[in-house]
Amino acid sequence: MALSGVEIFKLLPKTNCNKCAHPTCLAFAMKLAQRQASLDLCPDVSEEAKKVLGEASAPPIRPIILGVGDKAVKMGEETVLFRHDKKFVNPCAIAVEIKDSMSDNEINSIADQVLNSEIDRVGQKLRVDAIFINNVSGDAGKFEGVVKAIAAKAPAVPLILSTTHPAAAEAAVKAAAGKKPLLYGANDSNADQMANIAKTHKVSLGVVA
Amino acid sequence: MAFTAPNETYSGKVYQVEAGKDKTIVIGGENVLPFHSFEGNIPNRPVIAYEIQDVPPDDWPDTLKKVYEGVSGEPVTWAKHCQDKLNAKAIALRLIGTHPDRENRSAEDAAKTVKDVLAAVTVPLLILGSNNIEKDTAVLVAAAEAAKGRNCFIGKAMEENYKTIVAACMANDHKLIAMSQLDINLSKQLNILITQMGFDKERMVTDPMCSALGYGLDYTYSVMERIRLAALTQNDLTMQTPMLGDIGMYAWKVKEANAAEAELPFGGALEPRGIAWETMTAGALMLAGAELLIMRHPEAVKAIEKLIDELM
Repeated sequence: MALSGVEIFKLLPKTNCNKCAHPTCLAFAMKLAQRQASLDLCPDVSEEAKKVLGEASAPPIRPIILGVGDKAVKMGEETVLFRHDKKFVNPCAIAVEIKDSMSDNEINSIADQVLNSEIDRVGQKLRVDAIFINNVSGDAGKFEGVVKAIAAKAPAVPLILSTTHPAAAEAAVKAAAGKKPLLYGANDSNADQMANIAKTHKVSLGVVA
Repeated sequence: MAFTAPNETYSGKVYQVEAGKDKTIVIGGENVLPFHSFEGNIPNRPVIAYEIQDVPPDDWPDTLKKVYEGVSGEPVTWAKHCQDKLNAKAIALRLIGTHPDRENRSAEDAAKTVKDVLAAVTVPLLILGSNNIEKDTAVLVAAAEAAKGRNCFIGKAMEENYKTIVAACMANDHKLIAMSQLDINLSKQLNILITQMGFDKERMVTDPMCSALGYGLDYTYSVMERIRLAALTQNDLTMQTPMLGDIGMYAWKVKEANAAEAELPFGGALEPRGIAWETMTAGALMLAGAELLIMRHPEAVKAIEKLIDELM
């Protein structure tokens, strides 16, 4: 839960030392409460205060980062339900689907479109954010092959690996090693195995119910 | 541990407004946020009115002109086409030809157009002026008299000209569209001024001013959202009118709905792009709370009707 300025003030050193460039600790606390300043600015804050304030300032919707590098997309971190209450932080990501049952030509053509999708609209860069690879064939080898092909063709594009078969999931996650893909997903019948794969390979896990 | 869904209950409720005579439409009446049917009661689905105008649509993009080719040269055939062929639930007749910078048609001519259209169709009619402050006072008064007894929506009454238009609506038993410019305070103030004239607040629709996707849609979205939250959570009696989204006029004006594919290669073919632009604009504002939408392209209307089916 977000803390008020006064609650934050109680956790600060109350020295009014001005090292944070705010005239008083109370003024700094008010800025912190409005999320207009970062706690890092205070060199004297206690470890305990850092812990409490860190937890309190974390947005209720946790961030998920998909992919690595320039094209990584961050989702979540929202603190409000309505835009006018404050603002929305991360736009939702848009992915296009590639089925592992498609022909090589189709797969290449979609991957090309994604690679060339970026447009500049009044200074804002918009593009297809990710590729969703769907294991509709149910075949682990086929799925792995397509993931490998796309990882080679579009190395910077974040991937979502969609399968309910643990064997296919394992192979695909390995094929996309180091790319921070989203594994999608765990369901009632495979939750333990999927969670293990995601944990071992340090990837985010999508849960379907 | 089982999940318990949070269930918001609201103290306020949107007024229910009915228009039309033989065939009627009813909008509003809900006591929850748009499509939150799991929390309360949504008695009426949003209604889409097909837009036509008193003069041929020479200023509309080709994508639209093509759709109404052969019927749009004359408002009566155009209105009948919308009612009989497109199954329009309502028709919005925009008297754009009365604008002094356009054909500058007289109030009498406009009144005759209204009479002719009303004689030809049974679905409810929205009668819109040209948004010219001075001219609309004469045109809409004449139109309201010509439409007496047919329970139409008449607008748009704005801060500078609302008095005569409100009086004409009262005298001829119509519903009123009140428009203000993208500001919740102006919207509230106009509603109050109108009700202070003795006009029943439950016979109004608020138009907080539309804007198209990519051209300020987020402003209209937020104003609508805030109006609806004021109506429901604060039980603000001056903000409980249903809302209007004048979609087509704004969506079809923007570059993306008009530019050839060569100019906007990322956007794909022009025709589906324009339709998508109107659809997305309408869909977003409906989610923000608009219950009455004025639209132009039949395919966009179809897409929104389908969206409503899925959300209701």
